[in-house]
Amino acid sequence: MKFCPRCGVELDGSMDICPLCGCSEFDQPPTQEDSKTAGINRHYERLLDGYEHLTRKQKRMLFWEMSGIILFSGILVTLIINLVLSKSITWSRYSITVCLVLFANISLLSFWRHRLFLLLGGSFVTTSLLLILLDMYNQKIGWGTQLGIPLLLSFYLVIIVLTWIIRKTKQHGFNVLGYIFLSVGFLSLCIEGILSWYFKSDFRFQWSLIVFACMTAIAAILFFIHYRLNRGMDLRRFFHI
Amino acid sequence: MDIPVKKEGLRKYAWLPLDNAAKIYPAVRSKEHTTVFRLSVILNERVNIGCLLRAIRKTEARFPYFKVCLRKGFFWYYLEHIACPLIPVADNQGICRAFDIVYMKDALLFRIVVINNRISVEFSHILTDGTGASVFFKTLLLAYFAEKEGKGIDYSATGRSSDIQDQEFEDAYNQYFKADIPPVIQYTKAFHLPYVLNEKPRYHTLTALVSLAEIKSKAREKGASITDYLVAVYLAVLQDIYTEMPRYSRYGKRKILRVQVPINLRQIYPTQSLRNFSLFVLPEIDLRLGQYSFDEIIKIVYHKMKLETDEKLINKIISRNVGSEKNFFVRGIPLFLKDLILYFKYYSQGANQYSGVVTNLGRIELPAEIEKHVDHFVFIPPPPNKKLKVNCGVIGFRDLLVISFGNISRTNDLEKKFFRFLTHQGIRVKLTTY
Repeated sequence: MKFCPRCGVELDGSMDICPLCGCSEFDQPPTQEDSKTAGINRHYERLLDGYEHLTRKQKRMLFWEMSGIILFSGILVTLIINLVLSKSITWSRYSITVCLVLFANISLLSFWRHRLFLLLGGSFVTTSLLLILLDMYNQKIGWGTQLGIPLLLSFYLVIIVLTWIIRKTKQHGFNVLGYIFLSVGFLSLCIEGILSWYFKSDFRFQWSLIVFACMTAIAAILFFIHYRLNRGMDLRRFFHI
Repeated sequence: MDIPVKKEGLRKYAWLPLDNAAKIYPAVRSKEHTTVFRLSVILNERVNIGCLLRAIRKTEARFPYFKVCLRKGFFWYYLEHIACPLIPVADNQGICRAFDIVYMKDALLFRIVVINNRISVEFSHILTDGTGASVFFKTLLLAYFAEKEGKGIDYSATGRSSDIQDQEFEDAYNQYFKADIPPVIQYTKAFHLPYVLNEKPRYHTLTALVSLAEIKSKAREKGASITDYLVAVYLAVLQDIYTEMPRYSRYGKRKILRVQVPINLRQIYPTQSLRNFSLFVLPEIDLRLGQYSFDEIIKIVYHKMKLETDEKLINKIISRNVGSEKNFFVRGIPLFLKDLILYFKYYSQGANQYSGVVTNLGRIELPAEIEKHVDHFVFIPPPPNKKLKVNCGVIGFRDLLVISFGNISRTNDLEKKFFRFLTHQGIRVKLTTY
């Protein structure tokens, strides 16, 4: 007779794996003492697995630490080279700013990955700061605040709404593609609107309207495939009152 | 005898509306308040998984109306037949876990879990009640031992025939609904245990074996049934807990102690239905009138149980419950609003009305040749809601009464007091690991 050491059940002679847990190493018939210690052994097995393999959280922490070390080393190296060569901070401020913004975004992703609004909000603030600083380093021509940040804001808003909708959706399929197409259409409207306001101080929509109409039509087809054809739902049971 | 499953026969179970009692559960269930209960059998030998797999194939064919998943309609939830096979899983992931709440996914509302010498079934209350689950479980056990001994299944021990009966999946509440019956009186709010909730996952259980003969003789001394006796003990313990609370903690606490006792309506109405068909009796003591002796409590419980299981009164409660479901205005409310209303109604009215629940599934009877392979049965009640904190489930087998407490609080104070009360009455109690 074969016994599964994990589940403690008896297996037929013809069975090569336990249908409950997939275990393929079988025990001899266990004694009463074995049954008592089976639970304890399972506990230790789980602990040992934990030591051998890092959890996802530990992996994220490791990634964050490694990124920090690499980016701050980069900051330090460029700063020293710049100071040695030019006796002041000139070109290295670009690399320092980019590295700091990159580190801030990695930190946000490591610690707030489940808090969508904080993650994207924080990422928007830090990236906007990068645009403003780059603008300042380039004689304050103003493109950062008047063009860069509005474009960035529209992009982040679209991403937030899209992620929120996808998270709320219970079944993922063609509907997700539909939402993405709709988002692209809406984003193109935003881009043309912002560009036309920046260059002509007026909202004029031309190419983006065509893009939006095409994207909406494709999205409608995808939604139809997903919600009507794919599910094949019986209306009588869906609307039973 | 094996059950022939004809495809055209399965069309009948393609979809089913939820029964009246089940309608509340999708709205109030969560990962912690799962509304899932468990029936276990502890065998004298290790489970033979090959025989169990073959027994499951036969049993699932006999109960096709249980092979359904929960779907969301526009006005109501409904059950849809799915063809996925029932696969047993290892019993190592916690008791009475929630079933998948994703409505588009094909997920059954019951499972079979196995470990060592223990087979368990876990059913969502959306699907059936304790009686329905116990009929399924007994059939599974009969099929399992028939497989082990190479015989056919003797269905007579389950009280059912080998053929699938249409009555088994009917909504018996609807069948016995009578219109134009006056509404029942609403209950006032009851006392709730003052315990702090456990960390998630909150649910833990405590199981004890009690001699059926001893408890029966004690109950007979008082002229009551075993259920009456246990409910009286529960009320006495609640009274102790209330009395021992510091004076400042009692401020604002309700002084009515009320226990919910589910009643199997199949004993009153002749139905074969294996879906939910139970109602509740709510024996109570009012501490504003003073302290009660145990004899006084048992007298109150005995009379309340007798009075409230009267068919006319039960008709009244069924009519109240089913009547609101038949109301055209209620039917026309979209599901998302119904969910909200039912959720708030459950916590503002339903859960407020009682301080505890004692469910007695009764004695499980098996043929003598199978009985010798079984040590005992355990019934684990569904996790209680946050107000109730503790649930109690009772099941009998041979000379054993198995009492299980499901608890989501940080203390086992109620259980300790309950079992100490029994031991002080001269009833031996053996706590067991589950």
